[in-house]
Amino acid sequence: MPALVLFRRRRSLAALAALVFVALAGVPSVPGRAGVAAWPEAEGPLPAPADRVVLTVRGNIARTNAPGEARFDLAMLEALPRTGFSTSTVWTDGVAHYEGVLLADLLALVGAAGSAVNAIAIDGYMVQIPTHDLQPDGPILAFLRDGARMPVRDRGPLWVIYPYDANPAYRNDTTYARSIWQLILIEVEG
Amino acid sequence: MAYRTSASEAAPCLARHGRARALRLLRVAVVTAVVAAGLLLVASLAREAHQALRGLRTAGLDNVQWTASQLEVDVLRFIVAAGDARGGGPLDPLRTRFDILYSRAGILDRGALYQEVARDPAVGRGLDLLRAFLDRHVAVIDGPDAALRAALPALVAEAEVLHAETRQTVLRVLDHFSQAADTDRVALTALLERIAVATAALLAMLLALVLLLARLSARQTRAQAELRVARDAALAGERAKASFVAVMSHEMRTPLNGIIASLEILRDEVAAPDQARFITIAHASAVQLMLQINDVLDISRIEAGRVEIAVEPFDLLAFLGEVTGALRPLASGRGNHLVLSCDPALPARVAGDSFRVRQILQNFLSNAIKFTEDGTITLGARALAARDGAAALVEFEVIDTGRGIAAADLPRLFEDFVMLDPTYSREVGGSGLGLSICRRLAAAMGGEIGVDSEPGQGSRFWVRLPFGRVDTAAPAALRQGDRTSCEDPLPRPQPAASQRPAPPTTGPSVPAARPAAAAAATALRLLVVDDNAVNRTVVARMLEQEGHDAVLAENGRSAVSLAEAQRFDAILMDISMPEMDGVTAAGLIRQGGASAAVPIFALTAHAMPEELARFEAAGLATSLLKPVRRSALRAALAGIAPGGHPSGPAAAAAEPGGTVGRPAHLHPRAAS
Repeated sequence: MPALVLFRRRRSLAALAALVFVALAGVPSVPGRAGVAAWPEAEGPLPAPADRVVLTVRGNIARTNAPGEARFDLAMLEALPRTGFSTSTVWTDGVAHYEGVLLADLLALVGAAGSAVNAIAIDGYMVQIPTHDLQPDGPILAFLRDGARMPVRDRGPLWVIYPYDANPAYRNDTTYARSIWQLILIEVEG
Repeated sequence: MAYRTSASEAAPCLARHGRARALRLLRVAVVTAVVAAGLLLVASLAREAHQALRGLRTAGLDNVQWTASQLEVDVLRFIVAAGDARGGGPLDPLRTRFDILYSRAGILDRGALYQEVARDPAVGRGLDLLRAFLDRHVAVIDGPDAALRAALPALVAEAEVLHAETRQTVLRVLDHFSQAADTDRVALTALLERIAVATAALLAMLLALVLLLARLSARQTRAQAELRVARDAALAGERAKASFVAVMSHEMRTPLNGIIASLEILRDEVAAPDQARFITIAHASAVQLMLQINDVLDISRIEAGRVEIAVEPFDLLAFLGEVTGALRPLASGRGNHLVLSCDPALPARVAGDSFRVRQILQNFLSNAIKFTEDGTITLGARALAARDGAAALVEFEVIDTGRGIAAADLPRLFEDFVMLDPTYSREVGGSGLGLSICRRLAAAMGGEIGVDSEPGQGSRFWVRLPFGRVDTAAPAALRQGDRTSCEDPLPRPQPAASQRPAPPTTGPSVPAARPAAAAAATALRLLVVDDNAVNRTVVARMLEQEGHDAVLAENGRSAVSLAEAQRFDAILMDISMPEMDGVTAAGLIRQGGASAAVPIFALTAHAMPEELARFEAAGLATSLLKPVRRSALRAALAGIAPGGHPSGPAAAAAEPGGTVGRPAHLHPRAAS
């Protein structure tokens, strides 16, 4: 899978760009995906956040907009190609539509390379997500629930959501533990 | 009405055996059903277990205990943040702690996992208090900093009360999930236990089934062995019986020989007409008895599988001419017209057993002659489409205009000892075995036999026989010549039995074989070898009546010494004799001495083809079937001139019961 290949190739930007393209072209059209045109420049420094930072990515990454870090405000994330699906969760009542950026896409954007990422929440909760979870039909970093932003009081603003209903393999305690809400920090190991 | 033979045998009814078998089958069926039910049970339990395990694997439990206890931690951290803020610390951490607590409460409040536990009154009350606390303070948390700072003392006090309540609620939730887990564990354990018990029971049943089947199998093997022994015993008994019949029939022929030959001699010598009449009756009866014994012998030979079907080329048209010719006098005797009618497409030469075909056709013809008076009897032959690799399939039919056969009688016509009308059969004679012999012979040759008949109209007996290919190097001229001997082309097939046979055609028919030569004009000097004094005397007397001189010998050894010392014109040699048998003696005579080159005739009651071949190989010129008939004797000796030089070939196959076998060679064979 593109994301896996990506993690094996260390810091090869040209290859990275090509692979991102392949990843986008190879993934079947998913609701919410806007297309390649919406991506920020594939090379060079990331644009700096204009608003309050909601997510920081650090560790083994190739692209940054702060010393050793890639920082995002909500608008930056919302400008990325979107992926979404409807699912129920064990923490909510009924089915809702979640929308956000594919976790694999986000890590590709920052040129992450490694075998796992540590995800950390506002309340200090931390869980490790292995790279083999980062599939085109895998988890998304959701920021919209039924079209509305999620406040911290409702597990927002960023929530890692797997398509539990679509794939029974995601209906287990391990995946539930990786479904981190109130996400603020991703550390790329490697 | 038509009938065709078919082999159908009634299966032996073993009722007792059948019941036992049914019982065993029933037992197997019951055990199988029980095992199947057990399998079903285990399968359903396994399915249940699978679902339970699947539930464990995919059921969204999350870490409910952790989430629940985290609630208390969130309350405490909120209190700490509020305390910090009251001491002059920043407000943002407090607001974040509030949001986190709010979020956690939402999970317990509305999360799918906690809906059941929320129905617990104590839990419900605790969650209500939490919700009320959050709702009460959300406005001030979201409000201006000054208002929030002013509300801090009250907020901390309330939060501490809330903490005590929350702790109780969390403990209650933990207790609930522990109990649920215990219940699930107990249920799963019980399920696994049930599966284990059911599996053990099933295994036990399977074991029982295996044992039962093994026992059944052993019993079946034993039963089969018993059946085999019984069958072998029955077959052995059957063979013994058949052998007994054969031996008895054979033994009866020796005294009959004496009777018939003696009666023939007497008939010629007795002058008184009364006596002559009785002697004729006695002679006819004896001949009839001999024919019946021969029939029985024939059947027992065929049944014993001792009939070998020869495959030798013969000329079909000439053969048919001979068969018709031989029976024409008999037919004429009853005012019948005997016609031969051949299909032009008939192959000229075929390979097969002409002797056995002749036997069948003679039987058909003599039956037709017996049951027809002043009518027409047609012997037809036509080629059918060959099959199964045979070069030719020929259908022979004998059609008569006689009395016909009732439809009801047709099926048993080819069975043993069937005489449809005992009164009539007494008049016409016969053992009732003729057609059953024909049926067996036809089957042995790979053919079919059958009859169509209409009472009052006539009958059509047919036999279809496959023949082998013959190298067609036979001269075309010969074939052409044969063709002229059967000029009536066969009318197109007559499928309907009721159809009248074709009227006699005016074309020339095959002439009857010439009657045997008249009594020898020249006196011969003959050596007669037979251990049986009656036979010896009878043959000697016959020879004397023919004007020959007979020297008698009791066995092979004395015959050899006589033949060495003197020259005879011919030797008549019995086969089975004590001291030295006829075959050995003939061999020795051929090796040298005065009579080394003279014809030696086998006198035998055995007429089996393979034996005839053995006699021929030993130097025995031809065989005279016992009882020796005057006519056969005359025919055999006709070609011999005094001094040992044959005067010409002799026809030796004129009369049934006379000389037998393949075309007879009267020329002595050179000693090997």
